[in-house]
Amino acid sequence: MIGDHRLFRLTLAATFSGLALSASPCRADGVAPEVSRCLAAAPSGLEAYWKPLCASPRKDLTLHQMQAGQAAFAAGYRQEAESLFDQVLTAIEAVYTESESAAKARSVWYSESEKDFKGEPHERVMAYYYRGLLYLLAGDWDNAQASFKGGVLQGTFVGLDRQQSSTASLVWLEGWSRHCAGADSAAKDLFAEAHALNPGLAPPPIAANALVIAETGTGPRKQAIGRDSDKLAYLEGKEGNDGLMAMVAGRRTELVEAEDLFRLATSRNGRQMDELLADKSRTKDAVRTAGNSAVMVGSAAMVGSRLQNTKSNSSSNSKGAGAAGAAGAVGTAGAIISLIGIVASATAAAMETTADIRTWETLPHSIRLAAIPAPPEGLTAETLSVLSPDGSSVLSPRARLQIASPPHCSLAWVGSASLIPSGRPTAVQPGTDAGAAGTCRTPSGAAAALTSDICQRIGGTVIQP
Amino acid sequence: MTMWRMKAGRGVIALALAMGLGGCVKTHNLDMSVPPPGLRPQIGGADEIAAKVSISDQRLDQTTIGTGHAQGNRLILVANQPLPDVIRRGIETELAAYGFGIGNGPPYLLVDIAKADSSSHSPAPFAIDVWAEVELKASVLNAEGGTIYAKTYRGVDEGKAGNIWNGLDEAKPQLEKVLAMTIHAMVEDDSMVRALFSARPRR
Repeated sequence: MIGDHRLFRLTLAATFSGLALSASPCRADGVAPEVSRCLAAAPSGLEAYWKPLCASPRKDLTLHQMQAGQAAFAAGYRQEAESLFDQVLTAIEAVYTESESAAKARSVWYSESEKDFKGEPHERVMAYYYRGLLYLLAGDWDNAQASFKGGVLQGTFVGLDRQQSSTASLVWLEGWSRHCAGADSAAKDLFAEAHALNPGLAPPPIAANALVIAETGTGPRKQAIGRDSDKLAYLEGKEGNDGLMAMVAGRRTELVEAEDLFRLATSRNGRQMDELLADKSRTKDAVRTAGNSAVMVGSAAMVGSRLQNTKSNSSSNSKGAGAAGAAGAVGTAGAIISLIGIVASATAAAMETTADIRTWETLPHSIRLAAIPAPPEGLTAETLSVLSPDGSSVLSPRARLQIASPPHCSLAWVGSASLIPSGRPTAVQPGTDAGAAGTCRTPSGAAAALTSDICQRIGGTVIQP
Repeated sequence: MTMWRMKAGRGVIALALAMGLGGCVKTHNLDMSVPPPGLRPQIGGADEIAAKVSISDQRLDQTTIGTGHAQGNRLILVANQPLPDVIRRGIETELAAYGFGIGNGPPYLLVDIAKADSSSHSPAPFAIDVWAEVELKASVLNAEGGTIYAKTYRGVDEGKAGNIWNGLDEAKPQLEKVLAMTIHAMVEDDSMVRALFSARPRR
């Protein structure tokens, strides 16, 4: 009995010591001078992106660099965007080396979200894509091609050959970079490769020297599913526009869908990360089962010993004293097994299998492009319009286009933030409570058959309750 | 023998008392809010829209937001703030994150709360299972009061509680999480966004 108490106290002490160790001292986070300097350097209008970037822990830095780099690109801060994407690409390429962080990525003892973020393949592909576009805007065709090629390799990293890549857009852009550099033979092969991957992507007309790229909608969202939230799932984002045309100097050309990021994110098989997560899950299950069994066996032994002690204590003969001694030994063994069980359960809890759902939040749903001959007056914001299939302009009043015309080729880029969503809403269901409708004067002055409740909720006046 | 019976009797009484006291139902009043959205991609032209959001609570029990169960205890969770206000603020914040303006409409976004429930229970030592379910019926009306879009958005999620030391209240953060997921799914829906644009006043 005394042994039981001692072991119980020992268990409690071990538990609380563990708790004390795990509750690391809180840091009083003031704004560090380097954070202030970083924030002061934020380009105007991009503070919302720089704030998380400047205060980012190392593990999330690449994610914030991706988002800030894209925002800087869209706002025309090309130098900042170039610098950020260069850092992103360096970080991505470092993960495949024998570095400490690469070893950490393979460990089962770190949560996925605690590891340095490098992104899923579609996110890494997009980092190379934006860096390539920056080279195109600068007229650096060789580096543009190298960057797009780097993106294609990210899409095919997991032991697949290039022909199995689904990043048709980047293969096509590799071809465009060669085309602009005057290497039309190499370009022809790349356009053919892109066409094989995405039949919608035809080679550009011979005279094409201007490229219009439009990004629409919102990118795929990540979700952790499964009992331990250990499986990564994707939700499709908004498509935004279900068809677009570029109108340059009065001439309309369809903007072909070159990439669908949801498809890109979900079309990979046998990803290394999935297998690692699955391995961790299996190990965790085994340890947890062992732990729970030990807790149950140990507890049963302790309860059994207590019952035996009660019975023995109520007996006054020497046989009873002997039984009490045996029961004490069983109880001690039970407590030890229980302690092992608790440690095993805690070990299982410490094995982090939760899927990493950190997401590049501002990616588009699709990339559309069209190659055209530039008009004599040049490709400018004044000569370019973007239309929906019904012919109406979808450029928002505050649209910010990125346009550059270095020697040989021009590029115009339109982000989803500059495009008004178009297309009819689907899944429309009939209005509600039509049977109980009265007459409502809506705030715009129209008479509508609405229930008094709905009429009041839209700020209207009930005429006929 | 008599002594043993007295001891056993006391034990039975103590056990009955412990079970009686342990099995009581309590109410916890908790502050509730929808976690703020992260960075969202801006939608072109959304800043030209001033949407009006109106929420109506259609639940039979409008006070409870969930229950907790552990060691024979049952706990009823009640929000300190009216749930329609919490959800309205959550939707407005999500819309604003995408660049939408909030104002008097049109468009009018009417949302009925059909379900907002959660629970937690402890199946084993050091483990708390949590579950939450949300059902929001959304409709978009234009300036003439015509319903141009209506859809029910459902969100459900179960998992392990992050904070096992606060197990009985862990249903609340689970409900907040599912609310945020459901609201995100609503505003992320192509048709919802197109409906908001369709219902805006024409110039």
